[in-house]
Amino acid sequence: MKETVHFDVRTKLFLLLMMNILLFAGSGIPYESVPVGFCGLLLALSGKPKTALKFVLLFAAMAAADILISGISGGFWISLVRFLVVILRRFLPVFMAGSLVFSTKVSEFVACMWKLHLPKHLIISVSVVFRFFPTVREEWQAILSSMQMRGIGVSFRNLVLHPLMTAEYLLVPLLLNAVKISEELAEAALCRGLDCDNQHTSLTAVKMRTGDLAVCIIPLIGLILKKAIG
Amino acid sequence: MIQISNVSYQYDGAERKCLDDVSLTVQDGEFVLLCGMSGCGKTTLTKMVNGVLLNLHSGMFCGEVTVNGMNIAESSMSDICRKVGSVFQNPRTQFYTLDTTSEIAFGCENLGMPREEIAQRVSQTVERFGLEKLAGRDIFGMSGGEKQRIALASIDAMDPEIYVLDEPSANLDTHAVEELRKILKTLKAQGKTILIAEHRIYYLADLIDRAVYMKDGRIVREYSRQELIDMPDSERLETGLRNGDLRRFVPERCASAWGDQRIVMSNVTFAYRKERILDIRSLRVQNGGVVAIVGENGAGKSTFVSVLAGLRRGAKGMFLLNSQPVSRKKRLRQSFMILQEVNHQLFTNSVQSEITLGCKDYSEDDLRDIMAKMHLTDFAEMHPATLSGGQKQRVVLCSAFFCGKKILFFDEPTSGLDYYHMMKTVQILNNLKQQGYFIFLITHDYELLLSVCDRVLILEHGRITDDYELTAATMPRPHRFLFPFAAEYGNQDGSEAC
Repeated sequence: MKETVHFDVRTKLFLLLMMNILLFAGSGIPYESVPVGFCGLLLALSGKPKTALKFVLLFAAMAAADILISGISGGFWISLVRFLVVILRRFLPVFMAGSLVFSTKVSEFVACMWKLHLPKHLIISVSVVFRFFPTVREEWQAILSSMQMRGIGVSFRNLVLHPLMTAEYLLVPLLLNAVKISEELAEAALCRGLDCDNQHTSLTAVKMRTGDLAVCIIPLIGLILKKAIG
Repeated sequence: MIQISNVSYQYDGAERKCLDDVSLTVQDGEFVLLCGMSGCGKTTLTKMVNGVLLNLHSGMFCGEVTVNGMNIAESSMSDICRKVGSVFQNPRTQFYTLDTTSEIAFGCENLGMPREEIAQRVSQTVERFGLEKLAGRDIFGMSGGEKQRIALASIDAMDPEIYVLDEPSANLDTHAVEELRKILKTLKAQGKTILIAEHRIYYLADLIDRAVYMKDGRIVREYSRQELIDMPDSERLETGLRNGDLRRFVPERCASAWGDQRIVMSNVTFAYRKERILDIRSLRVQNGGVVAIVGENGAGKSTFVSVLAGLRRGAKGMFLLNSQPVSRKKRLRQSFMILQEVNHQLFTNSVQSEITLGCKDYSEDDLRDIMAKMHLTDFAEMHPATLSGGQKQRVVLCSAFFCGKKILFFDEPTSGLDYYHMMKTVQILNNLKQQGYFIFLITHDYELLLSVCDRVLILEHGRITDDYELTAATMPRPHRFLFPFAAEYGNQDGSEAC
């Protein structure tokens, strides 16, 4: 799904921060539906309408459940359900903003970190972690395949009878390879100037537009209004 | 110009030097090949020149290395990378970003070039190397050959004067190697200085100015291009150098030992995400011989092998072993795959437990026997991760025998091996033939194929398009399939190289 509006990473991070703050500014279904709706709109505009819809429907379901059980009191199970539909529901805007942050392309994220003049070593560490996960996934699959062939595969039987051994068989090659892979990654990246002291530039433009400004101001205004009106 | 003067290096904790009093001068614009057996020091020498050894490893160093006047021992990686571009052998761990365009721009971004300049360099490189089709793609979906070309593009955008390459063709099939060769030819024409450590000599034959042969960390002698091509087989075994001209290669072959057991595949299909990627109408294979599975990247070789071995669920069709239908689970129990990446296959903390892994009842005597046969008795208590690559392969092979598996699959077992070790693999395979195993071998190693394979299956888009026994009459056919472009280029002195 192509994105209609492109939001800068900094905007998304600020949004995440605001959603966390708004968490404490009020409660109740009418109040909570505003951030949820706002984040849903932003997700849809960013080319993730399905994700937006899923979150909004989840909110609606939790709200409905809350209303249903509001009369009933006491009991372990009721309290558990109440926890889920009341408290977890309040965190939905945070998850939505988080989802928006994670929808950013890695190269844009790294470019933004450079623009923010964050410490060089922090940026390198973070970008290596991003780079690492897909590789780990590939290794993981290859190792699982091998284990299957040797009769030590991750099957229901093995997990129940020998959980620790199975975990060991998976993790030992994974970790050993992880070390080798990270060494090779580091060498190749350093040979292309990863740790140059100058400011690193970026092919993709990183700049704030009017849309970004709007996304930053709206939650702030919302917070101020809520505090003023109560 | 690269100037290496009396350089010695010993890693911390190593028993001996990996570079011993090495002196070498590479003039501007020269194309120099570093060759020799595994462990001779050629890779280490490349890492000396690009600064990796002195900056990222610790050890004892003496001597001097200067690159265009810059003393490597006193320079940081960020200084060196402006003059020296490095390409490594593993395409998977060379790229840093997640899409091709970002990758090509990566080096330039690190050097702090302005955006307009980066964009210009990226588009110039894409045009120069013909990478239009690869632009903007997700790196994880690409083949090894495509990744290596992007790696080279990424260096080219930085435009260093010197290129240092460490076995860049190691994991590539013949078509990808040809693409690599074209890029190297372009770089040479631009006047770049190129130092390349390689096993596969054939694709460089018409590019190199001279070849430097190393052994045990020393430079032993130099070879000219013609000397590499004309080298007799006996000298090849001694030096470990592969053929400079593959068409001159005449293998010594053992007779096949076809047995009377049979695997039959009938109307076997496999679909992935609604697309049929494997379609085998009918195939009969006997034991006691090596069946080579050959095809381009993406042709379905790995799919074929993993379906037959029972690793993939959901395959349709009939499988028979000696006229009895055999289920996926049964095939899995009988099969063993020796992968290219041996580190995916070692799970325990001692060689002994590795060999007996997955076996329920066994006798200690059998275990001792088989370890002795594979020369692993001394390593019985050692952790597999501490062994060399070749030793690890032997351990994995040993486990295959010990657990009584009947069907063996090899996936590129000689990728990156020198001539001597490749011939050792040939010996092992010949032994396996005599012992009556079913053997399937995925390979694009021409010399291996001709030396040990008895039957050739060509796979294209999941179908078998050619199937023949390798005899004196059919001997030229693999070459024609693997190197269809061989007729298109020639040597500088007029003769054709391949």
